[in-house]
Amino acid sequence: MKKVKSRALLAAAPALAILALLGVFVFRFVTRGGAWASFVSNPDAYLSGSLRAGTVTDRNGETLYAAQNGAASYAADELTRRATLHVVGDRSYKIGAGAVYRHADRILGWDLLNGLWDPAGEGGTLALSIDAGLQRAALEALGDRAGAVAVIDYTTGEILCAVSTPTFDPDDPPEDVESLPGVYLNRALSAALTPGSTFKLVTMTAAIECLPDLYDRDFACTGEMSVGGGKVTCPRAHGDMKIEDALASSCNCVFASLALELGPETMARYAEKLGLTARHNVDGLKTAAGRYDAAKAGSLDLAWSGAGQYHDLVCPMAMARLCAAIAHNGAAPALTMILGKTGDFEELMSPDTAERLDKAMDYCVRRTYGAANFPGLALRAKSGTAETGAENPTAWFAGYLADPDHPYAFAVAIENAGSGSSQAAPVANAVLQAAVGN
Amino acid sequence: MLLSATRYLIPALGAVILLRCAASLLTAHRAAEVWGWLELGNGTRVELSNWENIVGRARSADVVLPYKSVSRTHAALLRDSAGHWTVQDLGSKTGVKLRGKPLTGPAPVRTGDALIFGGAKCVFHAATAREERDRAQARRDGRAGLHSTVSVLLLTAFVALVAAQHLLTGAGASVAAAFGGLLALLWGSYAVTRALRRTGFEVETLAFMLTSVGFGVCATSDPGALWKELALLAAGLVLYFLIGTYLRDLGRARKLSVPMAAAGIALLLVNLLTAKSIFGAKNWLEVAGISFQPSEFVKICFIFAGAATLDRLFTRRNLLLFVGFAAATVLCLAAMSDFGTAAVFFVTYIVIAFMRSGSFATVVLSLAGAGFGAFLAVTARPYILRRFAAWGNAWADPSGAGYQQTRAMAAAASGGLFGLGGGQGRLYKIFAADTDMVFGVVCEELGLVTAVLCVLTVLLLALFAVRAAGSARSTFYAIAACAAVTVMLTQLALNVFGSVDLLPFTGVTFPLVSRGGSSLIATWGLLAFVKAADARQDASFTVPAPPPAERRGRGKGEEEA
Repeated sequence: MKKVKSRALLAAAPALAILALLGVFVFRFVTRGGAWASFVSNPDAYLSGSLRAGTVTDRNGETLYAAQNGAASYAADELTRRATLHVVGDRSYKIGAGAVYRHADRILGWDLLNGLWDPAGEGGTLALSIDAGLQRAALEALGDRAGAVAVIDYTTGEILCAVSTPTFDPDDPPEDVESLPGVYLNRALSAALTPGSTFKLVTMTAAIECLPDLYDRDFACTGEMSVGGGKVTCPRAHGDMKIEDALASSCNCVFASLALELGPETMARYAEKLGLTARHNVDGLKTAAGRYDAAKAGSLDLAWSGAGQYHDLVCPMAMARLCAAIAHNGAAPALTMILGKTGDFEELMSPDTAERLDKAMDYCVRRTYGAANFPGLALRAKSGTAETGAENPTAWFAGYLADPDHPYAFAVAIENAGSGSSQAAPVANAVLQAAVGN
Repeated sequence: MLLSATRYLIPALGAVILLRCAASLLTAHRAAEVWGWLELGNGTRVELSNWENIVGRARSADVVLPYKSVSRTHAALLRDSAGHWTVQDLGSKTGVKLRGKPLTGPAPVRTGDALIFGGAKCVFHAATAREERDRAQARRDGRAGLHSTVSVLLLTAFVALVAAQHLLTGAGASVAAAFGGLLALLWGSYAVTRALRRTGFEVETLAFMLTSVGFGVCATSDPGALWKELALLAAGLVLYFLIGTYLRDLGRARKLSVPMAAAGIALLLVNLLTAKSIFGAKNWLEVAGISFQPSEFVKICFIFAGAATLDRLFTRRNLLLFVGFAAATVLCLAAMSDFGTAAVFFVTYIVIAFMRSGSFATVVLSLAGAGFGAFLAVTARPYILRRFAAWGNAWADPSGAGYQQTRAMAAAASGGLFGLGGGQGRLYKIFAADTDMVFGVVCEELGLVTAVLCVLTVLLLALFAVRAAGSARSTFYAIAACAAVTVMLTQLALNVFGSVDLLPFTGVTFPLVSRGGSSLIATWGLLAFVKAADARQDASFTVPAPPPAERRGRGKGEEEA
């Protein structure tokens, strides 16, 4: 019998395997339960295609979406509905970045203890970090143009504004909604556009950190520069200047020559280090990856890549995040669109570098964009006018407010619009004026 | 408010019941039974604490004779249900002498007989009826009370709460009546146990707890069928008591081996030849308007055929016969495309084969053979693989191959830790949710805690069977109990983890919780084997106790031989 007693232990092997698998299941249940429960084909969560119950508000408690007994309603006025469409989501869950799609578990009020148990039928409340007022201001300023506005609180990482156009009214979607280009895309988070001269911030950062004599150098621009059988051109000859003037006048020749000097590896390293090529996690949603292709050393492509052309692409939210780091001693916050959820900071550059960039961008505003165009704002900014092959360039304006009471970093990008300073800067001004309460 | 309280009370009561049963099943640590002694040459007495004892030089022998002239596994001393002892040479090099004469075959041995194993002289003593009674009394006295009644009362409250959840949310009187019927069967079974002067009721308590969870699932998915479920439970209990009673007599039970093997194969062949394919698998038979799954009952045949007494473990021919029978069973099921049940039988076969042979080579060879067979099957019929293509990737194809798994996981998560409440789930609307995805339904309605308790309940039965295997009177009971729990464990693993995408989705039942008539009846049958390995004093009705003193001499064969 003793023999059989020890052999019987084999029968305990399946029991151990079951315990192990049970552990895996419970772990997944705890970590993924919310996502499982909010699966769109879960009848406990959805009724006739809509969330059973729950509310989405902006950071000030303004209701953007409310569902009860499977009937969903959006904000009362059309402007708010259109302005917040991409952060709230549409009725058919086609907007992948929308809260009703991504955070259905929080809206439904799912928690580990009670699951979707909800005898009152009220669901939960998801408070977004979004400010509906900024969304409206941004949409009105963008008008009919396709583009994006991103605003971040650089002390917390909360996204205050993530507007995308074209948009539509979720209560009255146009019949040809599918024909609007990229209408289901939140361009602030999920698009990557040619950055044009805003990318000079990257070349500038690399030069500050890698070329010790940068600020002692004298630069000269004749309006064009021959590289590898082609030409880098400027709209006009900028003449003799120091580095800060070169950024303020956005001199292509200077930044092209810096890119050639730094070389493709260093340029690629800084594009990556400053977070422009990475996908950033916003509450589980990954932003669009940017792009920086290291062109051949000494080539015309490398030269143009230093001025934000060639294959360069940047997501507006990543550009706003870079500006947030410059504003915040070189450290970029983890991004979130959920109120009160803050994360860690990541150092993109040294505080000294950030301070130099701050001065340079301040100089840009005073010398080029005109502080008077941004009344009452302690603005630091860089514009971009990106040639894309479209009829008009993509207009960029990115920067931040050096104002502890209004710690906002932003990026505005408008497709097929014109120059950054003439097209994107006014949009930024409108949104920032709304943000500081003017 | 009331409903809210039941959500926490059900898992709390379930946990208490489980812990009480675990304490009583796993911590019982009492003196072993003693059926006789061997008095060695130096005067030492070695107790024979099983009906089947190996004498040999090996440490794993029950009576260790550390002499070079003794073979490692030298001889067996065997007692039958009637108290008659035999001695049998197990192929020793130096032989056995009984009363001075060399042993040629199994021979009866009596108290006072001189036995010589190789060069080691012993005298055999069988325990007298009085000694057995005294020993039983000593085991009784040293024992902490089992308090089965308290557990049954707690279980009654548990069942009442499960029923209350359904009634509070609009279930009809027929649901109340069905749960009432369940309680009547529970107390009826307990009364029978007590009438037989047995106190162990943990196995039944645990099984009734699972059955009541299954009733809750049925009350949600098809309340009109609850009366049928109740009738099936009654049938299962009849089978349980029948098999349990039959197992009391070891000699009778072991004779069923070959007939049961034949019956099992016959059932499967009839099934294979006549059954229509229902829902993808040809594993159903319809007799007189009632459809049933023969493979469920083949499980009981399989255990009768696989279990063996100690003397048969040393004959290779016996094992080979069983291997052939097992292979035929698994092949029949594979031919029916019932791969889940085939896997259940295969794992059970591995456990039985190892317990019989003790040979890891057998296990490895079997696994290799099965792997080769599976490879051939997949090569010849590539579509088999498609059935398992979604495994681990259910969320990649939620409207196709991952349809059931994704819905089961979503519903499970809906319930959180404490559930939406009985009758409040919606997963049941999906085809076969109350059988194949029953774990999801239980998570959804009763919560993760109760669903995990259900899994732990089966694990507890398994641990008990493994532990009891050491103290069972015969290897027959030990092997049968381990095989029975292996069937349940494998089914449980495939059901639970198949539905949540941790194992391939095969569609076998969760013992006692899934709806499914044949499965419910057969699982109660399997439990009888677990019960038969329970050698705690007066615990199991399947284990005969020494006759009480006043009935001395009338107990059938229990007197001193």
